[in-house]
Amino acid sequence: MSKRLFKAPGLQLGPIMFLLFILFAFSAPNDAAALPAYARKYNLRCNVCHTREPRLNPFGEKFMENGYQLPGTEDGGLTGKINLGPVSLDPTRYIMAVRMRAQALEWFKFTDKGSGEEFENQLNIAAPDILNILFAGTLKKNISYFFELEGNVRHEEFGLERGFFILNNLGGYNIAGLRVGKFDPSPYFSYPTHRQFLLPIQPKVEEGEALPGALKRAPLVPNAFAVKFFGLFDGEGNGLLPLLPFFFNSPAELGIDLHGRPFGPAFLYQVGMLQGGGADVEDFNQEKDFYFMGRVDLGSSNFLSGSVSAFYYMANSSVRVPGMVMNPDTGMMQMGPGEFGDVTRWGIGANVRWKMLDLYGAYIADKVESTDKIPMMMRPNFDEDAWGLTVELDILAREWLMLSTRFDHMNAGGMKAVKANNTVLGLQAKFYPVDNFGFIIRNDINLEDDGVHPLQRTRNSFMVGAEFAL
Amino acid sequence: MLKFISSFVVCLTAVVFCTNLGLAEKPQSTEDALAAGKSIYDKVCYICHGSEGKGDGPSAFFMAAYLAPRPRDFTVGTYKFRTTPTGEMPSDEDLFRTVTNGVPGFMPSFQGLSESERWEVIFYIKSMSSAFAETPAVDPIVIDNRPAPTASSIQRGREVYKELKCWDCHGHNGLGDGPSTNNMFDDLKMKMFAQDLTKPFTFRGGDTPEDIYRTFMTGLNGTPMPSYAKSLEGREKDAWHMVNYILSLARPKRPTP
Repeated sequence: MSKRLFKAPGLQLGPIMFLLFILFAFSAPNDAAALPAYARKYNLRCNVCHTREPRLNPFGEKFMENGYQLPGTEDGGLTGKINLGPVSLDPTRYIMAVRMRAQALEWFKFTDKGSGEEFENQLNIAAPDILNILFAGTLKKNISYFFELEGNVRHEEFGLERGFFILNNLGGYNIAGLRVGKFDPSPYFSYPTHRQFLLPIQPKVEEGEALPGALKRAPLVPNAFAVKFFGLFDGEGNGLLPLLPFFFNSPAELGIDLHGRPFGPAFLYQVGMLQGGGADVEDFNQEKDFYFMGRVDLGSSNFLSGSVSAFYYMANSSVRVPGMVMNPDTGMMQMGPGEFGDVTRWGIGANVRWKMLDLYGAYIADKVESTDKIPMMMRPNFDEDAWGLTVELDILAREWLMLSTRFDHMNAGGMKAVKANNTVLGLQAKFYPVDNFGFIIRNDINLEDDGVHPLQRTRNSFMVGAEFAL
Repeated sequence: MLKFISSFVVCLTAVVFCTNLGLAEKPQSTEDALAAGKSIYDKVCYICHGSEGKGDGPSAFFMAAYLAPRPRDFTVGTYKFRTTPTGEMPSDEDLFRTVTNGVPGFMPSFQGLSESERWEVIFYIKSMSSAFAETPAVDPIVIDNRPAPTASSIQRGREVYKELKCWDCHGHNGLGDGPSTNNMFDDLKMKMFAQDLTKPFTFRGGDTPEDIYRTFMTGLNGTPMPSYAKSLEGREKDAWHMVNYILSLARPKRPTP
């Protein structure tokens, strides 16, 4: 995710990766030996930790909370370890996994009243999109690590997506787990940013054009997690796409955080500090972001479980508010990245699971606190509040079939002249011929199609894809 | 010197064997042990087995939504993995072995708990069903020495496999594709399939020769897998020949790290 959304596509690797993907996927043996690292390590099926891959079930959540160690135990030193002085490693097959995601075929229809074209259909045969290589495990009892390399095949990018260490059970079982590194802040929230059944779908832009004018299809992501403001910029002065997951819901940021359940199994706390939304390693001069989250868990029998969470996130000087800058070509003043400003975000999330049903959602509200840093003449045209709502229902209709529907609404903020709301209904069926391979058919309907605004031009988006983990 | 070394190795092997089987000294089931067991259960086991032990924990449905096996209902008192004859309650050591080794594919090994913690949680699990108190303890079956897996032993095992119609569920080549495999249900009326015998690492009751012998002779309570103890009464060697035959079906074993 992140800034890759803005880059032009490159397809040179595509056909090769697609062929590899097909070969790889259908040669997967259908038994326990074919499952990813943790499943291999513990000789368990995927479904022990997942409702269905990739979403975690309550056991998987406990496993993650315990620093990728079995709930209630710390078995980091038990399996066949390779000793490396004071620490040890599991064999490669127990710590390494590969995941591929592909939108193999996509068709979308949009209205472009601005250019005079009433309707246009576009059909793409796409290459596999994302390749992830993960290394995760325990170095020693209660010391865990997680590294994820991500390659975007279309954009020909490859890099560290996440990488962190966790010191587990500091001060006693479940008292405190300390994460340090580049991580996603929200894995313990009732609706975490990662592990979506409806994969993030990237925007479609006119070849060679820049956003936002040439946007044919807006990205399809949980709107509650998004930036939501029109007219904000990142630290380097690049425009922030309003539908980019950010702040507490960033896919990964540099930081440090603590979580635990010191008051009993029902309540989980989390506090943390991040380098800043979208900040890189060099961002030492900016203020840090702080957040805290609380979660109450419910249900322990009758196939029922649930949770309610709330968080508050202070993004201090994480973004740049709109300002006036000189266009070097024309010598005229125009809107551009201004001063660094503060944004606060709070949200509530909830999740209920009962038998085959898994219902979860989040309402997340944002406020630009530093409106005083916006030039006086622009302030009346800037809406400092925004909110988003995302609700998803997953139904495990058969052992091999997960049906999902997601409602997204973004009540946008920012520059009033250019902002627009976004409301999308997504429907998806995901088939699992084997535990670690998902075949996806998905359709997203834009409920606010006006044919003019870049976010509202798409009428319908259909996608056939696949997801595979080994 | 050689004698000393061989004696030492034998003793060491015996110690390791006993440790792995949980034959270390078993603590008493006291009120404190029960309370400690409940505490462990409420941390770990309830997620699948439910807070009241009914097999209906928060994760239970997703683990086996429409296909067996669901997590065990401890209140019913039906246990699959036993050394006791069919229909009987398991011994404490049977429960200890399952907690220690886990159930491949479905339940992790809990070797991360100390032995005393494992015993404590077993005492608590037993307290969930009155069947343990109401049923007199019975002796475990005798598991004697396994004959060498010679060609003739394997051949004899194949004959027994045919005679007992194991192929009806497990298929003629042990692939779990016998004619009855599509009509099998457990006692929860959950659909299940016969075990693929070519993948011993997926055997839920364990894949050692002794595990397979035990499963064969005691059956798996609550499932269509019967005990063959009566059919082979006085012919225990034939049971061992079949164990050898089943192990001969195995594809190359799961690669070791």
